[in-house]
Amino acid sequence: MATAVAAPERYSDMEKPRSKAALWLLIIPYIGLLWPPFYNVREPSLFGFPFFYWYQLLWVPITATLTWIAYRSTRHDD
Amino acid sequence: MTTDINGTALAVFIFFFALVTVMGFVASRWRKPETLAHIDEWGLGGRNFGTWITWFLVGGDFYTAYTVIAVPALVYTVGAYGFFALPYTIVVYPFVFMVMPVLWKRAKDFGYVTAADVVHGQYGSRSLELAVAATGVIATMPYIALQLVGMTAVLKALGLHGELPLAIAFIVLALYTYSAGLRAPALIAFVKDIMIYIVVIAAVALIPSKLGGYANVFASADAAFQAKGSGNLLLGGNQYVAYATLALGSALAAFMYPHTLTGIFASNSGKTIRKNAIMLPAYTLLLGLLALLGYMGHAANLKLDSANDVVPTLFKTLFSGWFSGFAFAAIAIGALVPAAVMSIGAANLFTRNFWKAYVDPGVSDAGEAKVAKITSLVVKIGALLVIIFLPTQFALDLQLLGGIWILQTLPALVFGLYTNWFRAPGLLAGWFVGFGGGTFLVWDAGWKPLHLISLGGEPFTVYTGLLALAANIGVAVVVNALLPVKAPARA
Repeated sequence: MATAVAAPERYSDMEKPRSKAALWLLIIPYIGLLWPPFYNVREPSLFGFPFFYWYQLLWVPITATLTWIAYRSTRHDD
Repeated sequence: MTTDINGTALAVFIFFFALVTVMGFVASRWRKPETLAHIDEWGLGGRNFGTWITWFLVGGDFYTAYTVIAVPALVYTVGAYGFFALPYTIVVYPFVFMVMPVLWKRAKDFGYVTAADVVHGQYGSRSLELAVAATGVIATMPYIALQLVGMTAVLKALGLHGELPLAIAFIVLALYTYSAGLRAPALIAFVKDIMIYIVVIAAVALIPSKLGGYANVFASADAAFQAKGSGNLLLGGNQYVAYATLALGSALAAFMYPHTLTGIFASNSGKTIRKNAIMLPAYTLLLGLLALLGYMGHAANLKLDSANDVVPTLFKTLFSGWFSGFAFAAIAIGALVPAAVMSIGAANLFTRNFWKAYVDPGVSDAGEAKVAKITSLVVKIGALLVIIFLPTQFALDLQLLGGIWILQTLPALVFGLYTNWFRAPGLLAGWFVGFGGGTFLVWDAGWKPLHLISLGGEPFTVYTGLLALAANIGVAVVVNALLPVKAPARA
């Protein structure tokens, strides 16, 4: 019985740092998008899109993926 | 542009409009509750919307008809700078992921319906509650009016002039929102969003092939900007700060609006909201592609009276009659969903934070629903009158200010979810400075939301909303630190 009580605590101790680390991923889109000098150029272009345009469009799936990773490491007790 | 009526286009348009009208009235029986005479049911759809309904509802409500018209119009006029809508609608979602489930839980646990309810519950201050509620209502009103601007643009392209078609569409909307509440836009959003996806995917796949490919679309836009001597495919060096601060400030403001918060409060769990933060960027992709229609307007050599006509004229020029009718219907219905949710959000605020707070504190649940329903009617008719009788520029300027105003409610609404340190007087002083100061700076800049700053070196412009928010937070912290603690905050 004692182990059954202790187990959840151990889990949460293990999970906590991992879930916090995953949440830090959500900072990345802000860095990638809110500093325009990173991407304010024409070349290399892709399918006729200058870099400025396809770079920002690419951040849509990247952000969704990062959010998904954060989602997987969040506990949903609500 | 030509203004003759295309029979096929008009018939398709009327068919879809009639379809959503029927759906709007049927919605009162969709996921039927025991009674609709309760503000939780009428105003929040029973707080029971799962992942998909929330996705369609928030998507349909955040990416409005005005967006569909105005973002390509801005890109058509100024180029790269107008693209800030893309980083804006990307960086908004990590914020939604982190903050909105916490806010949802607070509202759910205490039965709050509006942002101002949350603030009143946290700080116990009627003045702060009123500041948040009033800001919400006045920021939303011009936003509703702008949906009518979006609708007018497509009605004009269909050859329907004058105020009558607009008035009819809006009165029909007002009636089914009155009877079905949030269920009406939630149900219609399914149709609207699917139609918009079809239109945009068809447009970005087909139009460039008619215009010589994307490389040519960008090259034509570049040539057009150089010929007229303004606008650019890339940002100017002095636009970096403006671009980034507009994106960040708009992202922070987006989910402070009553209509977006209504979508959040109406969902059934924090998990639903987190899932939506992953799925909603699909609409952002759509918006990014849609923005490119502005450049396609240059490639197609359109001659326009107003930049707002770029999307409708492009469709009319390049699509067959039935498909342009379909596209126009998608945009017009795209105006109805947000207009309905906005009027519901504003009505909830009025009912909970004014009527119940000051006029009739003992109001029953059924009484609350009744007041909210009538208020939603008044709000929509008010927006219609504004568009008919006042210059459109007035609504545009007010909507710009609205973004700056609503951002000033962020500290009061969000900080209390994480800390009990702040108290009402500090937050109220911060709100006052942010609201008043922001308004003054916008007025001072000739109704532009950008403020010129020169710190010795090259001058640059910053989004006024973010400056005002910084002042707001600064004042809140200082006043809070200086004022003695009188009573403990909410237990």
